[in-house]
Amino acid sequence: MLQSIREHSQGWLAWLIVAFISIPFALWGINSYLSGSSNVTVASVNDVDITLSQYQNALQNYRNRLQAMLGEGFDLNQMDQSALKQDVINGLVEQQLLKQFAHENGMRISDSQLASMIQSLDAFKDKSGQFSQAIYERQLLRSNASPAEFEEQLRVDLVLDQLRQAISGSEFVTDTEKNQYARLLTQKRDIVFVQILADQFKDKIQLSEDEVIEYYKQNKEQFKTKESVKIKYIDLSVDTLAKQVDVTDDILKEYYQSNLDKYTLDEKRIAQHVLIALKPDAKPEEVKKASERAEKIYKLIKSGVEFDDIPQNYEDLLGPEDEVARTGAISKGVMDPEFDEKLFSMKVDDITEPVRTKHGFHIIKLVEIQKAKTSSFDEVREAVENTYRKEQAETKYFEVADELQNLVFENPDSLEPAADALGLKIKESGYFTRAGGKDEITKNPSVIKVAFNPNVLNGANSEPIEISDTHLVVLRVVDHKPAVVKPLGEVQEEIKTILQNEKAKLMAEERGETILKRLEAGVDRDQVAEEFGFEWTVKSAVNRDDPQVKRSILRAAFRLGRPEAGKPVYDGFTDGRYDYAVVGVLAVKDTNIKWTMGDDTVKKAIERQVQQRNSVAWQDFIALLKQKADIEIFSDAL
Amino acid sequence: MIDVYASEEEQIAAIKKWWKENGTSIILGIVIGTAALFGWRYWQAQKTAINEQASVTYEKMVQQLSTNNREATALGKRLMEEYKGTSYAAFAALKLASTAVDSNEADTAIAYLKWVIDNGEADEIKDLAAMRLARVYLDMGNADSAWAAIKALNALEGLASYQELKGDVLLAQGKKAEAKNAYLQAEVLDPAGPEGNRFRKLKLDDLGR
Repeated sequence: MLQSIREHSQGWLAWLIVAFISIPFALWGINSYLSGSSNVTVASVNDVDITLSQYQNALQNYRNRLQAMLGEGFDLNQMDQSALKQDVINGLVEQQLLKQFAHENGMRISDSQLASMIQSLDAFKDKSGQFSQAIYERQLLRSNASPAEFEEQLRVDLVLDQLRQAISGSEFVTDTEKNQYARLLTQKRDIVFVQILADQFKDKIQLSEDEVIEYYKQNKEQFKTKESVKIKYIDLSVDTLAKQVDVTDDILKEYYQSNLDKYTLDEKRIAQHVLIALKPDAKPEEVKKASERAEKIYKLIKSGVEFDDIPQNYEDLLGPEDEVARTGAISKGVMDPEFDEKLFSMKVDDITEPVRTKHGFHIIKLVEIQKAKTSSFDEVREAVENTYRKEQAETKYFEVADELQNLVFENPDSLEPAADALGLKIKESGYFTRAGGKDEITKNPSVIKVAFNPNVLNGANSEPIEISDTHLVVLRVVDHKPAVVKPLGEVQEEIKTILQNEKAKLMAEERGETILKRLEAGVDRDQVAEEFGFEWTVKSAVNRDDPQVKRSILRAAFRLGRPEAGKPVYDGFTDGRYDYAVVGVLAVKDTNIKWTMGDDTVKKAIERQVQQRNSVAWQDFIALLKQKADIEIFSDAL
Repeated sequence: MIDVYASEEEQIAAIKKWWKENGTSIILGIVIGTAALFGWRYWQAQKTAINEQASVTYEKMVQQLSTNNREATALGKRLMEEYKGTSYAAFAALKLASTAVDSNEADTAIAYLKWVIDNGEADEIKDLAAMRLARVYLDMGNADSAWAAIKALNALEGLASYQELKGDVLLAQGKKAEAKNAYLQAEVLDPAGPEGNRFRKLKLDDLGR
């Protein structure tokens, strides 16, 4: 049968079959080629998947944006990572929901809208402010996107902008609402209040020994010292090694001799020159003209005309690009080769014939030669010694570091063998907590982390800690003071104060609540004041931010509702840490202003309300979409 | 395939016979299928084209709103008539309603918002329009119409702004205790926290906590 298939595979029927078979192959799986290969799903929104790679990209972008906002110094890892991830995934889900809404509701950006958007973006404009196709393509190439991808993404962004604009930009705040807000903001109230200070009860408070002990027992955590350690350490750095390098005059002289170029200043020359400028692609006739002008100027200079006089007196010989100047001190090899060669082969006061370089024609006059100068050994001895020591230390550093690591590993119970073998000093720190000590070493976060590592606390040498590329520390703990509860004797006074305050607070509260009850029972407030021996503070027509009244009192007074039928309303609350306050509202005085008549504070508040309304409209819209959608987030995959 | 045919001639004869019996229906099937495919694609392209035209018109209208209100209104009305089925028609009506509120033309605003509720496609947009409609009624002092506009919007129960609006309407109807409850409900639901909206906080404070 295979034989017969082969024989007939030339016929039209065979071709037809092949064609039919190939269609599914041609179309199947195109999606997965286009949309990338990561198939791990982190969330799905109405059966559309959000993949891990999309999520990771979004997370990276979000982190970059945060970092840019908070500054380079801010450590993002300090933030709550799961909240960060949640923000990102929620953002992606919302984006997807909005995309689906826009698609289902036939929102479209036309090609011409897209084109005019792209052409209006600053990123694609050239210096003259015109859109440049070349810049456009280069920018896309740089961000690794094809024009098709970029344009599709932009289309989506634009559609979502349009949607947001339509919903949040069509929100409004009515005049009635603005006026109501303005009236609430400018409302005034007649209030009375009294502060019942806890302090007045303190001297009446009797504290028993037992109470203090009981509190101590119940709240031991509160009286714990902080855990601290004291360490010994070997501090190895290129700088410390440099100090130990053996140095003799002979060695230094040899080093000086073999590095003479470091201590030699090159010969430098100063020249005056005229440049007749020529573009690299100048045409032969332009070159000829320039050459003629150069020749004329050369003759003038030869005949004794000063360089400095040329610009003024022979203006017509110079073009706008040409220059007449005195050079700085130039070393060999700095200028164009042709210029260089002439400059370093002429004598002082010589004048060259026009020299052609890639910049044009130069006429050069040598003004001064600064001879090469080599410093003598004695002059630079200190610099030689420092450089030598540093170089030696650098070559030794890694070798010593390796050896140090081995020695502290082989002798885990002591630093001394390593210090002795390598000639390094053992230093000792003071006590420090997990918050760090006072000097550079005990302040270092890596050092702190290692010092409180359980193994190290148990008495083992630490691994070498890299402070920098050329600095490391090995340490061991000399003494460890765990967190302990301070003895009662040390904290007795502290406890007494705490208990006194607490009791005084309760007494103030009790007094306040009794007063409140009497008032609510309808007893006249002056009578209550007499009964309890205090005086009301009365303030009429205070507004919400009256500077004469304490904020906490104002806040309470303005959330008290309205007195009805001339009957004042009262409330009491703990004011600050220990005190109590009773507040009463006698009358509410509504203003009748229109919002347009309000002062700046009112207008600003209303402006904020308008903005808030706009963004709430958008949030509401998203919330409604979410409510209807089928959303799954696979938190484990994040 | 089983090799049951003795010779090639028989094989060819069998295929020919099969083709004679089924050929017409196969060709017909292919023709109908192709026609349907192209027809569907044509229809899709038409729809896209209409949506794109609506989108362009809408953008033009938004641009005109700040400078030339009359022209903008004309463009908006054209969207509502000629592109009735598109979302852009609803967007245009929302925009025009907002403009009408800003220039104190409550009746006009009401007409536009009602248009969205009657002709809009998306429920989310229609519900938001209904809330706005209620607020315009309140602006006119018509609390009962406001209540009628929002009382049945069950899908919005979970929104702080809906509960706040209920409170506003109830307050306008003089039902203080019920209004207070609605405001308290709004505080609980607000993702920005109970004090996330200062206006709402003042309204509730004024009723007494």
